[in-house]
Amino acid sequence: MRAIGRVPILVAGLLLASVGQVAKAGEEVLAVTGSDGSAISFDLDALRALPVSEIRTSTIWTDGIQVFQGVSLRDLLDHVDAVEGTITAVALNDYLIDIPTSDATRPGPVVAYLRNGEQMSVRDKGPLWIIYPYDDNPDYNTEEYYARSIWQLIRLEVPK
Amino acid sequence: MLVLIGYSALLGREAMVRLDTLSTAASDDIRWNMSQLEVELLRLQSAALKARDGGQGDIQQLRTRFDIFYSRTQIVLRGALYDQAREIPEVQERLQSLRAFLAESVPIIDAPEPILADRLPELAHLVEQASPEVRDLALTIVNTSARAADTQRLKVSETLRRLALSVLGLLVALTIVALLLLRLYRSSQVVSAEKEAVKSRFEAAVKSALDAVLVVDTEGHIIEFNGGAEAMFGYSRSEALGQPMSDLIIPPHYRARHEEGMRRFREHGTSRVVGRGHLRLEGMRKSGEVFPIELSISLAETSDQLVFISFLRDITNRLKTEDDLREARDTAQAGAQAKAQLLTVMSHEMRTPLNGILGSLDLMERDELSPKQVRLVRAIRVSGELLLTQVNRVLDLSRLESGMIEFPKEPFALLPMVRRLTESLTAAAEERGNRLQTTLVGDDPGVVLGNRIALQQALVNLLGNAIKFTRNGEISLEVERLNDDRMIEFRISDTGLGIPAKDIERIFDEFVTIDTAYARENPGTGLGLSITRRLVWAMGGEIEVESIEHEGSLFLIRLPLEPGEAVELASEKERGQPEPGPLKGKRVLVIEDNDINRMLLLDMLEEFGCQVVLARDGFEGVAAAKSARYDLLLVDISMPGKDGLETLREIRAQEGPNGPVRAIAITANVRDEDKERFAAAGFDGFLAKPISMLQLQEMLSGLLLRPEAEAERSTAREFIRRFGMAEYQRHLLGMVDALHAVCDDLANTELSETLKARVHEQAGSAAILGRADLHSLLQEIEATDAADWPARRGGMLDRLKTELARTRAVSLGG
Repeated sequence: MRAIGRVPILVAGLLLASVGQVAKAGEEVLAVTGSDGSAISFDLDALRALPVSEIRTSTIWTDGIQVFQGVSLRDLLDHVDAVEGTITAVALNDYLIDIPTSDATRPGPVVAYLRNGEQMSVRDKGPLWIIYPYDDNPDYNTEEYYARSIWQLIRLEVPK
Repeated sequence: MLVLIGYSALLGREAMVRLDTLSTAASDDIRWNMSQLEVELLRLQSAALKARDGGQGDIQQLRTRFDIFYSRTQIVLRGALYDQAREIPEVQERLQSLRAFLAESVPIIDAPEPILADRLPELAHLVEQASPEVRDLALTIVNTSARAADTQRLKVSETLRRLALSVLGLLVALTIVALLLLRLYRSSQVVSAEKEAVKSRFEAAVKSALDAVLVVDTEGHIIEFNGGAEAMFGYSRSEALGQPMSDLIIPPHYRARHEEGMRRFREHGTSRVVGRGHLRLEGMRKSGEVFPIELSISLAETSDQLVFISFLRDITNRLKTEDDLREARDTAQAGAQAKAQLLTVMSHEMRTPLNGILGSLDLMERDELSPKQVRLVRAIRVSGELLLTQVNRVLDLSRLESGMIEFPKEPFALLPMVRRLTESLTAAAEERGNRLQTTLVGDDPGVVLGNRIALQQALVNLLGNAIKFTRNGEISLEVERLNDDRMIEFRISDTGLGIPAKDIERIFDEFVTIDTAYARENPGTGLGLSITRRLVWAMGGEIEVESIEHEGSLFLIRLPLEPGEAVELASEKERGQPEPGPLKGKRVLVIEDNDINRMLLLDMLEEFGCQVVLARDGFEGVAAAKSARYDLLLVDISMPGKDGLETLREIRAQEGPNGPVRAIAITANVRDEDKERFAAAGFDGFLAKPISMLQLQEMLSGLLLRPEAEAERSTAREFIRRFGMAEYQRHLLGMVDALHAVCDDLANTELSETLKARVHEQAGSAAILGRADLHSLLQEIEATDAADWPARRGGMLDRLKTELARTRAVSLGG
């Protein structure tokens, strides 16, 4: 790296980083497939039409308290008529994790689409991030739940 | 243990915290994220290369891959997970280069497609350069996080270990405490059981106590009321419990004091009654009857209250008994006193006429009497003296009983005293055909410390009895010092009538005589043995008797007679001859109410050559003393009207010529208190009735003539001083006995030269022993011609016998 001029570049870079690209309207953000073979596609508006839940917490991946808004996992599962069982969540980089439907409690994990009122770009780990209320419940501060806190979520495979 | 608990709690909390930290410390996440960072960078690198060589679709892929990588970098650059890592300088360095890479690559990626396509090689190059740096960063962070994780784990395990130990310690402590508690529990059980036992014993004791037991609280209400109280006061227990005690059992006139006392106690905690031992008060029964009680109160503290516990006893009977006893004692004392007084008065009354009789005999004997008269006079004297002896015995007995006689101890030679005694009784013994002998068993006790007079009296009594009850027999007196060097035993045995077994117990009793043939002929008062026993007891000794009827008796006296030291006996009064001369011309005033005694005194004093004035009572005496001066006053004590003491006091008080004159009291009783009274009244001496001329002369001489009488008595005194009183008396006795023998011979034979020689020999003794009269008489006999003897024999022998009798009297001493 070039030594001279690093600082101004850093500042510029940081500023630019905050721009990123957010999901466009109508663009599919989440695909929900069922074990019965069904598939539902959601764009951001469709998700925002569902009941809104909010989590106010700090996380290990961020700095300071964040306010996440989204649809609670419970609401989403109910909306798609999922049954008891295990959900498989898949991320943009092919990261994959199983989440038991028993996790979907109220209050409980939320499929967040807003962080501090802003949509999240991929660089921000958006557009969708499954957030648990870490500060409210010490049980969520374990690696098991960190592992379930999937970001850059693109697909949910639910039992039906 | 508290320390352990605290420590355990502390450790527990620490453990929890650390475990918490462990659970929340997403150390695995740190490593996972770093490795994912590397992976994403490699994918980015691969995408960059593909895009350089490929088409449009690949560019989109490249952008996505960059975004994904970028999003991961934000975690290490900003995420809370790497807060600690970012502190480490090595990490900071590498982060800087990462930031630099991002700063340079972001503008390229974000540029429009054509520009991006152009700059792809540049981007690829940047990525290539970044790769090892990112790896480096990842490794650095992984290493530091690993260390941190290990440290954490160690700390946790250490904490857990300590926790385990402290919990163990706690368990041990708990076990010990549990054991202690168990032991405490057991012992408290034991204590409790004991207390139960004591309590039930106490309750039983109170219940069955004969005395009344009351328990009362500080307000005065009855808490306990036992069976004894029920019986004593007449209330049943149920009636009495809870009631105020003062209403129930305290008589009305005591209630105010009781309430006062209770109030004082409640306020000050003091009491005149509690814990003060036995008190006598009065109680009241249910019937209202007031009766005397004895009570004792004490305070007891139970767990929550103070109570008074009192024991009461109905002493009505006891008081009555006490009163009865007191009465009986007073009556008995009065009776005893009356008896003593009676005896004293009686003896005085009896001694006074006896005085008269014996005194007259004294005077008669001084004259020449015919043989018949001599015999008669002797008979009268014997009877009179016997009567006097009996009266004295009665008086002695009453005095002994009331403890009035003193028994001072003096040193005296035992064996000579005993021998003298037996010698004096030999004649009487031989008269009845008895042989009397004295034997010493063991060593000669020498001089002993004891009461000579009492011992003599006792021995004379016993020997006299032995002689009296034995005819033609053997009487023996044995003297023996016992082993312990303190006691001496006198054994008087006889072969006489003996004492029947049934009477042995009684012989020492007063007025007991045994009904034997002898006793009927010779009645006695039965006082002899009684007096003897009292004498022996008074000397601290014992007396025993053994006897077999018709065979004989043995009387045994054991006395403490410790060895004493011979003492100069020059102070003892000896009886000298009546010396008429020196008293000639002395003026004597006699104040005596009894005619005979007055007459006697007159005669005696005129014999001495005194000038006598008589007064018939105290008044005449005082009047006589006022008018003329006398050399001596003789005053009878017991006169009616004004007694002797009063008379003398008045005379002394008078401003007359007889204020300082010497006075002698004449009395029948001489006790110590009497002597003191005489001295207090102003008397210089006293004479006890019956008075003999010898006593009178001595007293007079002593008071009036000191210097002259000395000369005559000094010879005798000299002898006594040299050889002791015992020897003196022994010699006198010897001389008298020898002269008696001479008398008998003189009566029957001629006055031969042989006889004269014997007379001469005894005359010498008489001189040395200070018997001047006897001496001159013997000289007279010696000087008489044999021719004249028959004519003068009668008179001289009579005088000799009189003289000898007097000398014998002196030789027998007290």
